[in-house]
Order: sequence, then C-alpha cells, then structure tokens
Amino acid sequence: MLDAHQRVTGCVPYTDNVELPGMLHGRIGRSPHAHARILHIDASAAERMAGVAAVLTRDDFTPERGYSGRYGRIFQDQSVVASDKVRFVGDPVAAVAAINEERAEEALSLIKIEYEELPAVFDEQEALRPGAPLVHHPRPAQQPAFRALIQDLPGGSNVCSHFKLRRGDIEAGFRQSDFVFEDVFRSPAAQHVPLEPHVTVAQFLEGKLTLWTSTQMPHAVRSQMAELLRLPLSHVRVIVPSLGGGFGSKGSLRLEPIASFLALKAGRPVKIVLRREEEFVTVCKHPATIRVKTGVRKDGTLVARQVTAHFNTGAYSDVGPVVARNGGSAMSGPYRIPHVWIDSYAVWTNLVPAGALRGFGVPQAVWAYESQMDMIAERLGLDPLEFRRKNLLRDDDSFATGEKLADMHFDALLEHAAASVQWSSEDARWLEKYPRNGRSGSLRRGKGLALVIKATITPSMSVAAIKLNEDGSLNLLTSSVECGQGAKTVLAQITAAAMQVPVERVSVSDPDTDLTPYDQQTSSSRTTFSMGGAVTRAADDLKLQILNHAAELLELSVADLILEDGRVAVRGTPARSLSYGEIAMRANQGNLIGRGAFSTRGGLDLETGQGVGSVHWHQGAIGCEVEVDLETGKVRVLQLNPCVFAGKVVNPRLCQLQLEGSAVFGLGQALFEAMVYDDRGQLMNTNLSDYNIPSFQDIAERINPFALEHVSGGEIHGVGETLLPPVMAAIGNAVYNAVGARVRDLPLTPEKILRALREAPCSSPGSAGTPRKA
Amino acid sequence: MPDIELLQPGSLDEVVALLAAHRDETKIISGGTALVIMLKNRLIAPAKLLSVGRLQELRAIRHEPGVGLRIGALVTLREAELSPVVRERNPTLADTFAKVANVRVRHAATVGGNLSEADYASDPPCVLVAMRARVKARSIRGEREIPVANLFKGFYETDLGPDEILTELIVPDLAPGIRSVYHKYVSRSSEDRPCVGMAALAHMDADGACKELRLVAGAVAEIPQEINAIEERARGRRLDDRLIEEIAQAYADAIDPLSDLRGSAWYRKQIIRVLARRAMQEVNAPN
Repeated sequence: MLDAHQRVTGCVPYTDNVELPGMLHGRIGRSPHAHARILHIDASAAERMAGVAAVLTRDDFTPERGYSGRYGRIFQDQSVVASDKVRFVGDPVAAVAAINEERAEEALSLIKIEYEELPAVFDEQEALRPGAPLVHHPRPAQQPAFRALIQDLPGGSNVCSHFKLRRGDIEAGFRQSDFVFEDVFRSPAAQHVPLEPHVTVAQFLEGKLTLWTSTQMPHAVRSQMAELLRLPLSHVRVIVPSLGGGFGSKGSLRLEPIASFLALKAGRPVKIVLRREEEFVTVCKHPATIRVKTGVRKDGTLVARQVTAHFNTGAYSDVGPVVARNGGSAMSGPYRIPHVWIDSYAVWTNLVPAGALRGFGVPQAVWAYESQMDMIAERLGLDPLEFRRKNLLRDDDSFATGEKLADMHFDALLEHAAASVQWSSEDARWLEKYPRNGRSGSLRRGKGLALVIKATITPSMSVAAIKLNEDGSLNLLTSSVECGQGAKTVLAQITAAAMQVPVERVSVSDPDTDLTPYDQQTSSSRTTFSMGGAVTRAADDLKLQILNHAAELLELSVADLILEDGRVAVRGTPARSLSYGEIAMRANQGNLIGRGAFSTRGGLDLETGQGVGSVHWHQGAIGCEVEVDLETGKVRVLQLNPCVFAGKVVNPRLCQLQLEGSAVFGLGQALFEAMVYDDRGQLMNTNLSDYNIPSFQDIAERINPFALEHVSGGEIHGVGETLLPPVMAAIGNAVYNAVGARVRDLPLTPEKILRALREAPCSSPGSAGTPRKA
Repeated sequence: MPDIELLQPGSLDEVVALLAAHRDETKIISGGTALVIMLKNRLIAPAKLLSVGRLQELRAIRHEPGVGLRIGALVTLREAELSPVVRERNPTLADTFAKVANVRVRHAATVGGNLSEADYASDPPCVLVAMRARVKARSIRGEREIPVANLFKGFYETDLGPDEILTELIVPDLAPGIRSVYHKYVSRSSEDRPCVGMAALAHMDADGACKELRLVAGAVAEIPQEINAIEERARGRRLDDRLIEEIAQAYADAIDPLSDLRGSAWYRKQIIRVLARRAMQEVNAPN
C-alpha cells in the first residue's frame, strides 16, 4: 500500500482527528423500549443547563419549522429523532450538543420522556402473522428513484419489500424431479466491527453545510442531506477522510442528520463519535430465515428450486429491500436450474436496523443453498464435488435471471478449491467416515467445499478526473473512499500505468463532493472495476489532450508521437521530446484535466426477476478442513482456502489480503458471531467481550488464497466481498463431513454441534432434508 | 465518565487510610481492565477512584521456604506468567495466568485486581482454590489472611470489606509428587473468558494409589465449585478409567451450572464431565 508507512506510524488522519474552532460534542439519547408511543417529551431542563448549546427532539421537526426530519434510502421510514414512536431499543429519541460529551450526557439524562409501551415483534416470520404489531403504519413513502428497483406494496403489513424471480415452470420442475428436498436455514444478526466507529463532524457556514464523515457513500449522503435540509446539492459538501474499515456499515445516512441539525441549531460545529455499544444498535447484518426446496433427478441433475427468504430488516429499512433482492436473486447459486421460483422479502421488526454487510444478502443465501447441496449429495450417495461439478454454470448457460453467461470459471475454481484440501472420493464416503466407533481419541477431521456467485451492483456509475500539474505530476480526483482496502493504492497504480508515469507522481484525493466527481458508492466490490474504468477513460482523455497540444507545439501529427515515462516523444527520434508539464505550460493551459465516466446498464423486471442482474458475475470457491472434538463440539479450522476469479489483478498483495480478510470475516460469522436479544428486544452483547470476533489464535492454520486471472488482459473483477459468503457453508459442510452433525442455524457453536450429535444416532448420518418421490 | 475524583496515594498506609475515610464511595483501580468496562457500562458509579498505580509496594514475586510463592497484588498477570520463580515452583500456576484473555489484557491486569473483581468467568480462581492458596488483606484495622476458597462470596462479591485492600497472594508449595493441571475450555474465540475451567491436583503414592484428589470447576457458577465428598472417592484408590469417569460424572451431576452466552447449563454439564475426566487423566499419568 502506498500509505503503509503512514498507517503503521499512526499518521493517517481520520474523521475523528478533525477539530474545528468552537466545536461542540454531540451525544444521542436512545429508546429503552422496543416499541412505544412517545406521549410527552420535556427537554427544558436540558436546554437550561450550562454548557449545552442545542437539544434536538421531535419538536424541531414540525411544519412550522420547515423540516420534516424524515429520510430513508428507499422508504422514508426513518426520523432524525423519533417522532411519534420508538421502534427498537436504541432508537435515537433526542440529542444534545454541549461543550463536551460528559455535559451532553448529563443533559440527556435530564430530558423527561413519557412512553406508552406497545406490543413488539422481533422474529421475521412472526412479523408476518395476521394481527402482528405493525412497525410502520401507515406505510412509509417510497423514494421515486427506487421505483424501478423495488416494487411498492400495499400497507397494513410488516412486509417492507418483495423480490420475485420466476423462471421456467416450477410445478413442472418438481414433477420432473425424482426427489424433492426442503430445508430451512437461519442466519443471525451480526456486526461489522470496523475498528473506527461511525463519526461525523458537521459545520454550517453562510448557509452551507460541510460534513466530514465516515461514509462509504459521499454523494448519497450529500443528496439525502440536501433533501433533509432543503438545500441545493451545491450547498452540501461531504468530505471523507480515510475510513478505519466500513464493510457496509457506513453505507447510508447514520450520524449526519443528527450532527447537522445540532450544528444548525447551535450555530457551531458539532462532532459525534459512536461508542462501541452504540455501533451495535446502529446497523447490523440481516437475520434471515430461508426455506429452500430443491428438486433433483436420481443422477444428481438439478431441476427445480423454490425459495422463500425472509430478511429481517429491523425497525428501519435502510437498504434492506436491496439486500433481500440481492440475496434472493443469488439463490439458484452457480448451478444450472431450469425452473426457479424465488420470493425474497425484507420484513420490518422491532430489532436493530439491518443494512449492508460485506456480501449484501448473499452470505445468508449461500449458507442456505450450499449447506443443502451437501445434504442432497449425501442422500443421493453422490460425491459433493461431483454433484456440484455436474450442475455448474458454464459459458452460454443462462442464469436464473435469464441473462446469458460468459466468462464462467466455476470448473477451474471448484477444482482448485477441492485440490487445495486434497479432496478425494474417499472424503465423500459419508457412512464409513464417521461416527465415533472404532477410532480412539475424540478429534475427527473433515473437509468441506462451497461455491458462490454474486452480482456487483448494476447499473452503476463512476466518474474520475485526472489533473496534470505544471511539473508533470498528476492529481487523481475521485470520490472512491479509502476504507483500508487500498483504493488509493490501486487507483494510483491504474493512473500511473495508463499515464506512463511512476506511481510516486500520482496523488489520489480524498472524496470531497465540492471538488471530486460523482461516484455512486464504495461498495459491492466495485471500486477497482468501476472507478478503475473511469480512471482509465480519464487517462485516455488526458493523453489525447496532451498529444494534441504536443503535436501543435512540435508541429507534427499525433500519429508521429508516443507517450513514455511522463514525456511525449517523437517516434523514431526519442531525443526529441517534451515532458507532460512542459506541454501544459507551453500550451498556455496551466492545468490539463482529463475526465472519464464508466457506467453499466441492467436491471430486473419487477414481476419476474428477469433481465440483467449484474454486468458480470463474481465467482468464488472455498476449500476447508476442520477438526471437531466429538466430546465438546469444538471446531478448529485447519484450512480455509479462498479461490476467486479476479479477471485481472492490479495489486497481488492487496488482492490476497482481501481474500484472507474475507476468510477470517466469514470464520467469525461461522463459529461465534451472533447478536443476542432478550425477550424484550434488548441486545445482550453490545461489547467485544460478550460478542466475540476471531482473534489471531482462531484464524485457520492455513489460509491459501488463489486468484484466477485471464491468461491475457481481460476485465477486472472486484474481490472485496466474493469469498465471505461461502465460508460459513464450507465450514458447516466440513463439520458435517467430520462428525455427522448438521447445524442449520448460524453460528456453528460447539453446543449446537454437540446437540446435533446427540440427536443423530451413530448409525445414521444425520438428516439431509426429507426426500420424497414427486 | 462523569466527574470522578482520582485518589493517588503513594503508600499502602495512605491507601488504607483513604479507604477508611471513604469506604463505600471508593473503588480501587489497578490495571483497570475490568473496572473501566464496569464504569463505562454504569454497573458501578463510585464518587472516587483510588489508583494504586503510584505504589511501589505489592509488586514483588518471591518464594519463601516453608510458606510458598508470595505474589504482590500489583504484579501483572503477564509478570506472574513469565516469572522464573513461578514457572519453577508452580508451572501450572504460571500456565493459568498465561491463559487469561490475551497478552494485551495480561500486561495491564493485576493478580490482586483479578481476584478482587471476583468475576465468575475467570481462570485463576479455581486453580488457586485447588492449590489452597490464600490472600492477605489490609485495612486500617490491621491485616488478615483469607483462604481463596472463602474469598469469593457471589457474583462480583468477595469477603473483602469496603475498607480493605487485597495485598498479596500466597500459594503454598505443592508437596513433591503432586501433579496439577488447569484446563481452560472456551466455546467461542480463543481470547474469550472460560466457558468452563477445571483445575485438578492429585497426590499419588508410590503404589499408584491416590492420597489426595482436588478437583475445582471454574466459570460454571457464582463461585468456584469443589465437592469434597466426591473428591474423597479417590482416596486410597487407583485413578483408573472407571473411577475417573465416575468422579467426572458425579461432578457434572452435582454442579448446578449457570447459563450464559458461552453455553447453557446443559452444555456446561457436558463440558464439566469431559474436562474433569481429561484433567484427572492428566494428573494421573505416571511421573
């Protein structure tokens, strides 16, 4: 990484390092109830307190004040601070800006709020029962920009969105199947745990709002804040210093509304930094219940799949409907299945709002379908490797969305993953491998495989500008966010290579919506691919300008000139050359600015889910080996080998780190991570002692990443997320392969494994769905 | 954290004087690894914090013949873990300290702080009970010794009075021929607190018969669990597989474990049995 030295010496400036003259500190008061009507708020004592500059409550969002305080990416279901009701334990209900955090907290404690508790609903399936308490009523308005992506629905239910995919004839498909398997898989809420918590600094000067904020979406923050404040986009400026990790948690409005309204009211800048326990009640991975029904022929040919998926989006929808759509559209997996019927719902409940988390709905999907693939293989007496191989998507096959596929590499990825753990047909001899009889000791080893196919957000748009300076150095102006993933490094490399200059001559900007061009977001593994594409085009534009000016200065035609090493040289007469800087200055241009835009097109029909789901498909496989203690259920991961199709790798080391990072991230979700609520919707584990993430001791003994590239050139495929989704199923399959315990609810705790072992008699290899002759 | 007065005495005499003066409104802070979390979570709200950071006393580790290891309360877990004298005299104790949390916590957390906190999910207590260790406590009223087995009274509750400070841990030498072991079982991350801890000590005679067995389960209930009536079954007998299994099962049956995020009561019973068996097998192996 270009900023490696800065990073290890602690010199990278983060948003929390922003200090402004007169800056106040904000704290947020939160609901103690999962669902309650607010009867009365009295903030007068807090307002009178010395050192308190502003108190924000629902009284600041009245028609007379001119601000609705309502926002939401897809549905306007969120309020800056709660208005009529609170909808989860932790829902912001008031905020204070004061001279320091302690004073702000003290003031918050003086705000009197009278609640009337309401019945609450937490489970995504119970929320759908008739008579379940309604989290939002009437139904919140949909943002017009999302009408083509998410269908609006009638009110009166907790169903927030419904994604449909219809392909082939599902009933005929099940009739043609020899066996039909139906299983339910669950994933719990989980945390992103970036080292840096959410942090925002807001300042109003002369009617213009400037935000320094930890966001992955500077332009989306700008447009949403402009709407909330009824300002033109030009009057909201969003600056994004380096993030200390994002993983999707920093993908929507978080602290920006509260910080901005506090700053507006106080007339002074305001900083808010979340504490770790507040991170837990701000955003999480969607809990999901996914029912998968798969029809298969005796020979192992997949014929039909019907899926009902419920994604628990919590109290506010955020991007939940898109998560449900993305997870839903991936549910046929990387397999040829002619008949597919998918219903994927986002459901409102009284839990912490769920949003984007590395993988965006696909981790929940893969956990379900790849666990079931092994269960089916066992029932059919097939080697799970062979069963997968038989059904893989290949070039010219159609995906469930109807799009014709090209550049498919699942054969190679699957073979590589299998070889990485020395998978052999012996490993598939389920009945003989376990269980406990005849072998001494309590440790058993097993292997598992899992595949993933994942979309990158489509359509999408990125714009870049490259500014040529007088000395020939380059400033890349980009709104891609450096989250620690190495965006700046990779974009500098792409710029340098395209412009034929050393990478040290390139400086990459932080996003600043006043200065840097539009970018949709830093998410969906898209930066290297999409912003990289924009940078390449900006470089093309700049090179053309340089060549045209040079041709004029040298009185030659462009065809006679070549670019090399930061200079334009005359073909055949290399001694005759001009540096980029000389060209800009001698042509009386000062700066030259190249601009490039990269966009993709696509979309799915709202009724059938048919269309273009992704400009290209991210493909991955994992080979895994575990050791399980039969007596305790404890799992030790021996090997976790992520294999990805990367198309073209820009920076091998960063690519490898992304794959390792995904593997470790997934290992935590596989083995221990789960947000646990009590029966009143109060989160029980809001710190990293009670909510465990993997430590270095927990990481697999061997992680051997592999990135498959085109033999020559080819398109870049992002790798930020691809290999997280299959980790949980690979480990689950390996655990089953080791001891015959099938767990369907993540995480795979030792207790669940031990219970599964006790429930499954030694003589039977556990249950693998209910096969029935159709 | 709202205005808390920080007291920073320079000597133990000052400490006990301050404790006598402020008693219930004061909490002692040493490494802060547990106390700061409690403060942040508002589980405690003392008006004053008494920092022992300036004390030069209570930081020594030494061995006193006839008494045993004497470890000052302000010795960090890391220092105790690496101490040559602890490693030589009582490798199981050194190993126990090495199993607490992670190296960052162990560099800050102190032996006295760990015991005074009395967190049920902690590693050292069950080992110290098994080793018949005791602590010294000082107050303005004087000094007294408390067996570790009597120190813990409940969740985060000890026998220490509000005017007392734990000053020293004394771990008697184990008789020659005594084998000991501590098994820490974590159900989640390797840096997690124990789901179940199991300390075992066995004193075998030359014929392979057990003169004494001590078996103490940690992290399964409010305080460490030792059941003398079951331990007694081993006296004078060989610790064969059958007896070991019988004792392990009896422990699992006798203990009424708690449920928490690390495991249900049912699960803890299973683990108590497994760990008790494994620990006994290990101390039973020939020298």
